[in-house]
Amino acid sequence: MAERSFKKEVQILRKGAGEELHVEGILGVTKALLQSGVAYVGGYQGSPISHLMDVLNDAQEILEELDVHFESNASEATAAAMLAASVNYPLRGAVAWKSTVGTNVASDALANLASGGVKGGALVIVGEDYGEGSSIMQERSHAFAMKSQMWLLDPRPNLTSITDSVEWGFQLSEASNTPVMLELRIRACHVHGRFTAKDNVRPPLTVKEAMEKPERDTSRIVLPPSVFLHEKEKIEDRLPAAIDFIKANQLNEFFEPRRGGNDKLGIILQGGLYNTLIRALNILGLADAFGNSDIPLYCMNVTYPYVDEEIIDFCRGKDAVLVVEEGQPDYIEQAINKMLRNAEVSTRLHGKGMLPVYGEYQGQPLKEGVETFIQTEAPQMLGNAEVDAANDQIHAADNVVQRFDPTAAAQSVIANATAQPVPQADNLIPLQDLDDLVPPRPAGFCVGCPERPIFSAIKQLQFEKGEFHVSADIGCHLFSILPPFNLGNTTMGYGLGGAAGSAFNVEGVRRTINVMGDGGFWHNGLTSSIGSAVFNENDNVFLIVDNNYSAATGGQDILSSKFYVDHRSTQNPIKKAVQGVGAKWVRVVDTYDVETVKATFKEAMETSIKGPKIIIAQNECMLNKQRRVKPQTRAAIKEGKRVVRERFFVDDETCTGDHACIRLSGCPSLTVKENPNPLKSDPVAYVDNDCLGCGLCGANAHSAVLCPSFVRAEVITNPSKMDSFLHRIRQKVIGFLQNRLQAKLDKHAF
Amino acid sequence: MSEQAVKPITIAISAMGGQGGGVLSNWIRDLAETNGYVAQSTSVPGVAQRTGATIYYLELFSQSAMAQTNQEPVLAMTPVPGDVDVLIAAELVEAGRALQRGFVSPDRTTLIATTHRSYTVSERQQKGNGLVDSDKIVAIAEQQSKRLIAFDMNQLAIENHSVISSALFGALAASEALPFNKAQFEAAIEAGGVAVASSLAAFNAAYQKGQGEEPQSATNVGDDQVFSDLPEQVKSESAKVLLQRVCDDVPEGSRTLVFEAVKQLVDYQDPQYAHQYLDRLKEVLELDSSAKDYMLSNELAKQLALWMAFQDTIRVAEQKIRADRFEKIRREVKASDEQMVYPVEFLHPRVEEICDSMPKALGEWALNNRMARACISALFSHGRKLQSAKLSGFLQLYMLASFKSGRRKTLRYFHENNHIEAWLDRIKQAVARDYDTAVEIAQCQNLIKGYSDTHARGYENFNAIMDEVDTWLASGEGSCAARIAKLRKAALSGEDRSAFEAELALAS
Repeated sequence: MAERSFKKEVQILRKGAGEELHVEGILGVTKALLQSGVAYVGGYQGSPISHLMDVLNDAQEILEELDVHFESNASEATAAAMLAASVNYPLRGAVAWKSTVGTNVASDALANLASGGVKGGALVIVGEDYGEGSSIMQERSHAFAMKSQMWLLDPRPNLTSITDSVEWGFQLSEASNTPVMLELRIRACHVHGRFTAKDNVRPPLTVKEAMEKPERDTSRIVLPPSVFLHEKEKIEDRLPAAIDFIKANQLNEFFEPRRGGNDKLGIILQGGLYNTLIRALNILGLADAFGNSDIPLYCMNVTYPYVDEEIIDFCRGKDAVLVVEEGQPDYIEQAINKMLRNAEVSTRLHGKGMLPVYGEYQGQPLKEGVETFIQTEAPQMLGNAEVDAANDQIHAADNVVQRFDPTAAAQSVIANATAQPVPQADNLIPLQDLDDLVPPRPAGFCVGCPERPIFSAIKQLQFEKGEFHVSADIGCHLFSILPPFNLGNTTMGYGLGGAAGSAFNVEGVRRTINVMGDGGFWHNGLTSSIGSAVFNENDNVFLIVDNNYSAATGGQDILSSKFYVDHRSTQNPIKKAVQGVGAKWVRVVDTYDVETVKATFKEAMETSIKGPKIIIAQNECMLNKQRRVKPQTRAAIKEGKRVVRERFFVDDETCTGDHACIRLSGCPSLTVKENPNPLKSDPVAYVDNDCLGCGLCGANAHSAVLCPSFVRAEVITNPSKMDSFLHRIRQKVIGFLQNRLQAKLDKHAF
Repeated sequence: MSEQAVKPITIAISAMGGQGGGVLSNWIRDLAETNGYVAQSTSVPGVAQRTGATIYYLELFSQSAMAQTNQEPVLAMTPVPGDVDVLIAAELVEAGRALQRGFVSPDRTTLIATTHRSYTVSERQQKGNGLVDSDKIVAIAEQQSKRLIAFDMNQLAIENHSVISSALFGALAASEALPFNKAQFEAAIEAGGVAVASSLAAFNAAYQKGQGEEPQSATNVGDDQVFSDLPEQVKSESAKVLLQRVCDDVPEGSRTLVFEAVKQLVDYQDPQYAHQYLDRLKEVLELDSSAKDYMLSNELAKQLALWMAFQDTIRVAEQKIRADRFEKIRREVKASDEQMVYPVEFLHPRVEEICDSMPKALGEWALNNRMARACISALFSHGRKLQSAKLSGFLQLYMLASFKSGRRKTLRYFHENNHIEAWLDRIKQAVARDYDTAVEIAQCQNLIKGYSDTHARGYENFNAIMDEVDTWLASGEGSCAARIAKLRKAALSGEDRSAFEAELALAS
């Protein structure tokens, strides 16, 4: 059960030609796949592509109606390998994953696929997790396209361009017998916009039909002597075919300058950066809101292969051209330099010299880069923001932002455009002071996360045993590297937590801890980490966090999911899997039972049994559990059933404000508040109402011997008759004693 | 230049993952799309949002402007500094972060910021008060924005059984920064179809408040402490004597503080204990002077009271069984009259705490006798869950609390009292040499807090500093205040003692 349900939204996929759809990018891409007659789809979840997998999952019924087969692949390698169905048959297939991490995993299969080539269109949708909010290493997918000779699409980030590119991506793939990658940046995946739908198309050939009539062509198999032929084909046949197709269908776009513009300059850009570049030009007064620019643009919706002829033609006769290419190395700029040199075109080429060499190209860096370019090449073009506005023959007062006083709107616009810095009074607080006022807020474990207690236990054990080397993995559990836990030395890739610790397979004072999540475990950890550790008689401790879902990517189901899932085989325990590859020392623990988790780790550290010590720490992702349980609880209360809700509470008088509990938890709902005692200034711990009553606070208070301030409040709704009877007796006795206490205090009352 | 410049309206939402920023974007998008605008929104979901800071971004564009040119606008995916019309911050430090990133400009941006705080881990995990100055963020927000609407929108949302997105939406409507009227805003909530009634209630409350003139400042935790005024009359004879003594012995400016301390000590032990406190304070007051504004005495009045009311097992038990505490828990968990609330106390006294509660001789014997110690350890090796509102749990705590009258005979009292006497002695000696050092020594009491290991480590640090003080007292050097201040800071920073030990190793 995924974090977000698209059950309602997927009905949009049934819409027909001419209807305007208002949807998120990902849903648009799914619709475009169905409009293109795709025969099979698959992939592996991971932001920003998770929702695509969720949408497909929730659209199972619609896919079946169209005879489209959907696989929830075990990994990106599995997904890429699945595209093999397009090698022999004219089947259109599409897979999706997070890049570049997923592309790394898939590259073995992708390289094989690209070598033999495809008959049916093969599309790889790569969700580019680069820049703000990214959780992975910063690299470019571009290199994969170049090394394997696949084509890379980078369409303009509006839904019409994105959905169109799905369709011509398939066509390009078929025209050149080459797999095509469609690159979507993170915000493009989640952009909510609109496009006009077309009718869905049933695949002309379904996978069932293909399977029933097998075809074979040994020249497509990566085996000598065909491999040598494949390389020749790539260069002599497929590349020219691709270039011809791109040119003939004008996949790349030329934007002529508007009236009064300067055609001596030009900008070459990746399609995905188009909107940001236009905004930068607009702020500089060099373009209007509709994209009409003073500077001609060559927009590369296909960023690989390069269409040399188009680029040379664009540059010829211009004084200078700026290449806007995100990320590093600057493959495109290098290539263009070579093209111009070979063609003896003397246009000055700027790029990374004026724009940042690395990092996401958001509005600010693009604005500054373009400004430098114009300043250098045609400074007279700058400072004409007002002229620009006057040139627009539009009267659209209703688009002017009206602030507070509609009659003053006109003046307010003038004030905006001239953008005078506000005079600085002496008593203004300098903005730099914010540096001390704005602490970082990295992502972390959610309220009640079942993974948090594991790291509380490890941290407590560290107090006893000294510091451990912790090999971390990809997944929510990676948040252990942040305060307050500060656990984790490296992370080498999904399912590789165990593998990354393999060098430390020697005897030492303390064993290492190698972490993995259930997601990573099934992705490849079973073999890469556990199998390898068993085989090499690794003596260290291996932690597998089993929270019933691939939680970090949005709660998708996996082999060991606890619940029955339609269309999938779940409930396959991790314990059986590791025992199946020969692990002997295996323990399963409840994550919230901190004392047992701690004791189990201690035992794993000390036992004389050889081989990997595997601890499977189980409990359900609380986000998902809440979604599952909340409606049930609500219904039970409505029916008048007895329901006990638990949540924690801190006695603010008993708490001394040392925050030792927070340093063992970091739970967002275990926070602080004003000390109720006016003599004390340190804030006291406080559990806010988001508390899910997971029990960690109490378990920590016990196992770390913290303080007597923690209380679990059990709130009984719809109490039974027995409850009420006992409650009355208790209140009678307790009330009597409390009155006695109060009487003693009253003797000295103020 | 005229109003011909056609531009999109740009709106950034600065929030934390899980705060409902997505719901708010959806409302704004629906609002725009049903009222003559096209709208585009973007976000960065995924792991980045798991409680971390994130930005949602929207652009709205007039359909009539599109119709006149017959062109589609090009809408951007990320905010550009200096190009944001409305910034909505769902948490105060996130407003600060947006200011830091330049998304708020004085000539253009309407800033809608809630003043509530959701503290970051780095602030919460400090041993003392690690919270940032909220007021200052509001002040900077006011000076940097074209218009600021700031108040605690979270509180308003809670009061109306809703979430912050509804309150933010209400404040946005009140700001009139968007070309839509209130009814159109409300229609967007209704169209959303989820928790409409409570969302509308929070929306309306925020709309009302947002129309108020002044942005409201944030309340800082740990700011100036306010003590209640001295009463004209008190209810008991013993209290009357104490009140009179406070008026006679204590300079006027310190009376409310000292009276508060006296009340707490009577509650903690008895009037006699409060007199003992006043005796001790008086000795220092006599060495202090009005020229120094009685800084030392004020500090000592606070620290001495806190120390004398040390949290032993007797005190904890007494706090747990009081009637008003049960009421407090009911309020905090928002229990209705029909619901029952049973607190489960998580207690884990160690052998040290058990022996501390015994009469001095017995406690010392038990601590030092291997057999006795082992027996007690075995009994208390695991934490206990005590049901304090059920009979057996309540009675256990009640019995423990009733040892209060014998507190002065306990081992714990003996130890604490000796430490207090020695500390007071150092202060009295120091004040003759260097006033600031005396104040610093007084403040060191704050290092001793927490329970069990935390408490023991606090004591270790305190004692190490007192050793330094003794060396200084014997040496005849100038001031030791700066040195103590540094050590105190080091003792409160970091998790282990490494920072403190490093500071201590530096030659004084």
